[in-house]
Amino acid sequence: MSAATVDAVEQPDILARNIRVGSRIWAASQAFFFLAFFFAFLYLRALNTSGMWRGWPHHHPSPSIAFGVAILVCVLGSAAIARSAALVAPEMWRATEWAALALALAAVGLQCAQFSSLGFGPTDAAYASVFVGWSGLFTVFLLGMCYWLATVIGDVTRASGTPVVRAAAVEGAGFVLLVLAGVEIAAFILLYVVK
Amino acid sequence: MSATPIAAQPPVWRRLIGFNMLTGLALGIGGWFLGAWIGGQMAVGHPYLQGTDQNDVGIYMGYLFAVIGWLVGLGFANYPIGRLLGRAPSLRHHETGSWTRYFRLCTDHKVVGIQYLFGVGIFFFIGGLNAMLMRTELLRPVEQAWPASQYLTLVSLHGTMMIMMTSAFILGPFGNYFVPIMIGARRMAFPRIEALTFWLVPAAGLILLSAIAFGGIATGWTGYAPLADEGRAGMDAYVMSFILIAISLTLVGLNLMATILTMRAPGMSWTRLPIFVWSVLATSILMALAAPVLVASMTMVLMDRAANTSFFVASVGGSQYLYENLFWFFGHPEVYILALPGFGIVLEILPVFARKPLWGYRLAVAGMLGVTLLSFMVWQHHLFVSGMNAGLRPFYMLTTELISIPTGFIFLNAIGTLWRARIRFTVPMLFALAFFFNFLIGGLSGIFLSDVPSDVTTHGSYFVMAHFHYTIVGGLVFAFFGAVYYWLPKMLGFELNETLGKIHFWLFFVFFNLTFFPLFAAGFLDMPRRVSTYAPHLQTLNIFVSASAYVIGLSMLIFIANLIWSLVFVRQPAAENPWVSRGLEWQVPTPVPIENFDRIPVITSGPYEYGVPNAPPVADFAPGALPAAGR
Amino acid sequence: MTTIAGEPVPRHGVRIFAIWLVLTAIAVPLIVLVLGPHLPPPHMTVESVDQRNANIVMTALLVPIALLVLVYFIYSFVFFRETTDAIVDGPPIKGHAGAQLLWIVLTSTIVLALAVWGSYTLIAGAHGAGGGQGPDPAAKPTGYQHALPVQVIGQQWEWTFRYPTYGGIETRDLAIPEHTLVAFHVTSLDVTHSFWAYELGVKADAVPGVDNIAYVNPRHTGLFQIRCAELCGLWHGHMSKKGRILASSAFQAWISAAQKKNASIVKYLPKYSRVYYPAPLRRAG
Ligand code: HEM
Ligand SMILES: [Cu+2]
Ligand SMILES: [Cu+2]
Repeated sequence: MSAATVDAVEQPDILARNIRVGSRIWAASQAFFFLAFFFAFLYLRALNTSGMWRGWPHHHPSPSIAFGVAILVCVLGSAAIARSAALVAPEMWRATEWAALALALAAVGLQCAQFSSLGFGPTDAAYASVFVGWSGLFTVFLLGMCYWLATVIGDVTRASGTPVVRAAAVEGAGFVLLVLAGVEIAAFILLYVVK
Repeated sequence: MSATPIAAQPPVWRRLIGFNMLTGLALGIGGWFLGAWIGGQMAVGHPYLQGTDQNDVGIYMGYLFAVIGWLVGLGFANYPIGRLLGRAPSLRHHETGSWTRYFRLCTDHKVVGIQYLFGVGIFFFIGGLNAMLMRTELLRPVEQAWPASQYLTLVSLHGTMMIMMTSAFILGPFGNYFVPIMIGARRMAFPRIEALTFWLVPAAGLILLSAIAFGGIATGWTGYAPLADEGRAGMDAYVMSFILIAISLTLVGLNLMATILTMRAPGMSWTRLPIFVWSVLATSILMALAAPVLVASMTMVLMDRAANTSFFVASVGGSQYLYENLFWFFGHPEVYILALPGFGIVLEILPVFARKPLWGYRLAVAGMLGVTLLSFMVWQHHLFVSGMNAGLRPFYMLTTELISIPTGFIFLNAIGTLWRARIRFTVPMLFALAFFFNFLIGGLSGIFLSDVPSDVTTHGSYFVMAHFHYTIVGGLVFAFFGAVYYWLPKMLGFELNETLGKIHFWLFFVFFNLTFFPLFAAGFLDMPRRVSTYAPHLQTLNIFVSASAYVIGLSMLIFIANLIWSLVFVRQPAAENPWVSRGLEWQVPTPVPIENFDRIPVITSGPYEYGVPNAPPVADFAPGALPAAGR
Repeated sequence: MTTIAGEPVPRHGVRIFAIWLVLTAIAVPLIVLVLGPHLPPPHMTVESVDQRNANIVMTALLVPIALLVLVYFIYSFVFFRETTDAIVDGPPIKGHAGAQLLWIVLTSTIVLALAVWGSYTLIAGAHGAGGGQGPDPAAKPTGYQHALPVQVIGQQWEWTFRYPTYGGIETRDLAIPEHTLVAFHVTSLDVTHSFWAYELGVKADAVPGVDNIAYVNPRHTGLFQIRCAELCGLWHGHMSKKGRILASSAFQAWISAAQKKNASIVKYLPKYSRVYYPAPLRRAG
């Protein structure tokens, strides 16, 4: 029995609903994951144990806001495009998904560039810890989304699978990216503005 | 990719090559060395990594690459790479073939269920062995059998192993195997993810065990920072294995939830859903939301240890309270991840052997969902004397006590179902009934812990230890064995010996209570948890407890003997529906065909209509009039 | 459940209720009078007496609940069992709105009563004052401003004690005066410990960077046990010693002797502070 023959008899609308529901749950799991960092930020900041939240008195880590804005813009753009793909005609999907992927990859690249010229490190007290942890793990999740977008592009390009399932994949990826964009907004506000 | 054509049997050695467990092990071991080397290179030039006497980066990279190697060797990389190269999406993989499919990536939910049963079972027995070793140490009030550090490692390994493995004790084997059948589906929503969730479990178990070789674990299963920050390399094994298990649990939750939401057969309305499936749904909500928080908090420990961040180091702006909050925000839902499936199992078994409909079905559902919701709001009851938020203590006392209302519903369901019933005391029924006895004691003892004045004495004492063993062992493990005796005839196709089953039950039940009830007293008498030495006047009590614990161990050996006897020697084929149950899973042939159903059935009635005059059969298996679904 | 018994004969509900009533009538007085005095913690302080009372009340309340369920189950095993080998269905009762409502009302009442009573005793009485409450306690006994401060310092693997009102000396054994409100300020130098004085009804986590306060009002002199109740590494089980409650005069004598003995060392100690931040220890095993 080959995989294809079995899949051929699966009902496409159930497959599509699976993707839709699965993407919602995955988005919720991701949100709870970052909730931990959200909480860590606010909690450690409020406690300010031994007055060391921001670091040593003469050395307050502060990441470059230019990088922050650039990453934010890329992630928001990627999410906006991926999300609105569900609203446009399927012929446009190739373009939209490519654009979303490019922007997401740009965000990953920018984050790596920022890390290499950060000016402080994980050892620089609590704020620095949260900064490094949050942005680092966000990048990991974003890379995961890049993989998903790449597979969607492949399917859309080759018109593999059924149209409903492709539509669900486009929609689901857009949804998860949207939630990630929400996380990124929170990260930007807390890590770059509030500090 | 299937390197093994089934038609012409190649020689055995040839069949061992390919994507399977052996390859996974080989690549995993290779990956460990590669990763450790890379990690060593990474640390060069980073002073904050060299400030410590061991390079945790190397250890984590070793584990990471070992896991990657393991998964690649099992064949998990083939599909993602294929997808990137343009392969069409497909769901299923390697579902036919001989017994070897149990040792490789297989997406048949029934195979995964059995893999889970034996995989998790093995680690469960390793955890149980640890308990026996601990009880041996506690025979005398002074250090005798093991040095203090080894005893501590035993406690931590036992606790961590048990929590990790029993989190999917019911959802893994029985959720994967029976949920699709019970809702009239052919597969899970994401079969490949399903296989992944299982194969992460042995990786996590082996990594946890590797802690023995790396200086052990000194923190218990809770891994409190900053003790975790200063622990030796065994702590890295703890962190890594917990991350893997938490990822697995998240995905188990995602997969089961999606399956139940989208793949119910026509006619399977929410009010006809078997109560076990409801409990799985509730549990998977908790898993999908709580386990990611564990991944996050473990990642913070990882960074504290490997990169010298200071999430939990007070002198550099961190706080140990952060860890406690995050850990218990996961940890309390976790205890309901352990408890809820047990509720589902016993309420599933009760009607069958009481020969009555499940009494108060809606109440049971409300109870499970209520527990799910409330369990996110109680976590600070673990921190009553920690010194954080004294003003919030009444709130957490209230929410904790509130949770006993929905839990009480489950008891009312049992009471109502037994009312004027025709009870048959089969082995599964005995386990289900014992569940209520044990959980009653476990639950009521929890009320002491939820009351702050009382918790001042009981917190961190053996009282807590007795309490959670009553709920986890007395609840979950008893429900698990109930499910084993109830469903194994369907899963493996053979009957289990009933006499041996009853001996197992009675020994386990009696000596479980003899082991753990006295420990409430030990806690009341000032014996703290996690110690290998204790006050001399408690020795008699501890000897009694240890002796009883050994008998529990014996009862488990009897269970294994029963398995071997029934499955290897007697091999008495089980009837298709030996319990005359109305459950949909009992209406399919034994062994269950790969496709489960010829046609997707149309559900025509609820599963518990015992004694209802003219109740229709549960489902129409050849829905001729309707368009053949899924064919 | 009595209320399910809409059935005429036999009156299972009434019988179950009667058995339960008899058992409860026997059990509850036994708990209060016989078991009660043996429930923990021992009554060395006002706080521990109140905690024991809480334990007695709860046991007396929970045992009847357990009895109800147990009596019902055992009764049903005897009277509702299938006596033949045949598989015969029972009556198809799917629920009973009244019984469900009654159960919900009853359990909610008990639970809410427990929570209200628990919160009341926690805030108004001395019950909860022995549990660590952090730097600003919610349950403050009267006269807490004048409590004798004793700092309890946990470190791997030893307890030490500082008396800020007696020159900030640090001692290895703990003594407190009788009939005096004492405020334990519990903190830690390394990992989390938990200061557990069983007979005093005190348990407070020792957390680095946190001043965790617990109040206690000793009723009579005697020895009490000190332990660590939070796993803190290798010798966690060995962080135990005996503390003493002394009569006021004896305490004065003890503390002045201790002050004399420690006078030369005090200047080497860090200045008394509510928390200390030693450099983080790493890899202490
Ligand atoms: C024969 C059955 C068992 C025996 C005799 C046993 C015995 C023990 C003992 C002696 C401890 C150490 C207590 C301490 O010093 O704090 C312990 C801890 C623990 N046990 Fe068990 N146990 C058994 C089964 C189980 C099972 C089935 C589970 C879970 C499914 C479990 C979960 C735990 C946990 C979570 C801890 C806490 C470890 C820690 O303190 O970090 N146990 N058990
Ligand atoms: Cu909890
Ligand atoms: Cu300690």
